[in-house]
Amino acid sequence: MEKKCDKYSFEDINRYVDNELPQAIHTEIDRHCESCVPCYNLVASIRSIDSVFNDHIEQQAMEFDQNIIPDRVKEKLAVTPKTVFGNIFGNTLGLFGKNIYLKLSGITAILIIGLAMFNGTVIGPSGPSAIVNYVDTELPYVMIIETQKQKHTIIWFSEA
Amino acid sequence: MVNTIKISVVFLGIWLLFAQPAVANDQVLTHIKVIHASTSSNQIDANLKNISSELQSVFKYTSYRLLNEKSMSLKIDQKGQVDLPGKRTLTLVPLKIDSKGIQYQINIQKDKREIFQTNAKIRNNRSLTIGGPQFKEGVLIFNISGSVQ
Repeated sequence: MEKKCDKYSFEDINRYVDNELPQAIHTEIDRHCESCVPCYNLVASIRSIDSVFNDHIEQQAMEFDQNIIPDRVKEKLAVTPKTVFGNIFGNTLGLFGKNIYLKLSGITAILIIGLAMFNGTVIGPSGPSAIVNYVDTELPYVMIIETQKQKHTIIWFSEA
Repeated sequence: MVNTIKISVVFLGIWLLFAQPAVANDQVLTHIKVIHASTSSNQIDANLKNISSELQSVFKYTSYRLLNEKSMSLKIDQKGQVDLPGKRTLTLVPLKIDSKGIQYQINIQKDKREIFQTNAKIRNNRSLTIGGPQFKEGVLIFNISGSVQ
């Protein structure tokens, strides 16, 4: 029975095969595999599994019979860039295709959300409602406060 | 060709909706609310709901009543004045308009004596609140909002 090597985990070897390790560790495992038979075999085994899997996928793709694709799908696949552009605008802007009411309501929703965010009603105001440049008074105390929610600026003073 | 025109119209519409209004006019609509805040009751005037919720987040007052309000359309450097309770007067002058808001000079007088003055930039369509003077077991609060017409 082949002796098992504990220097590197299965995951390390897997990542080594997939070239996902840092260069220094990759080189280290490279060197280790030259002298360690179990690790060398493990690497070979993972590579062979990868190779079988890739070959199988490739073979399946090659064997795919394009004649089974319905004409309707073929037409969709064969769209020109101009048609793609038209479709994008037709679907997003909603004015250039069918289901015009659905698409118009989509535009309206986008605009309302955009405007609401623009006005700070959805995400809240981005800054204070006012910027106080200076306050001049002989009164005993003055406070400048900004509320947390609406960032409303308040100047508070006492006459006492 | 027709589609191009439609696309252009849609984009123009979106741009007009989102574009910041250019500061083309020097006319400033200024609205002042004179509010009495106290702890004597829980009454909040209906048209003070927005501002009272903000004030309640920082002050102890439970009652907010609108004593007076005034709208003024002022030009740059034009003085606007509001009479306040307790022989007080609020004077404000819009000094400058830019894309970020309206800069005001705001003064409060009591018995014809200057007791408070400030210079502040109020963001367009938002407001600044000044408060604190004692009045009838409560305090006076002045909410000043400005918008470019």
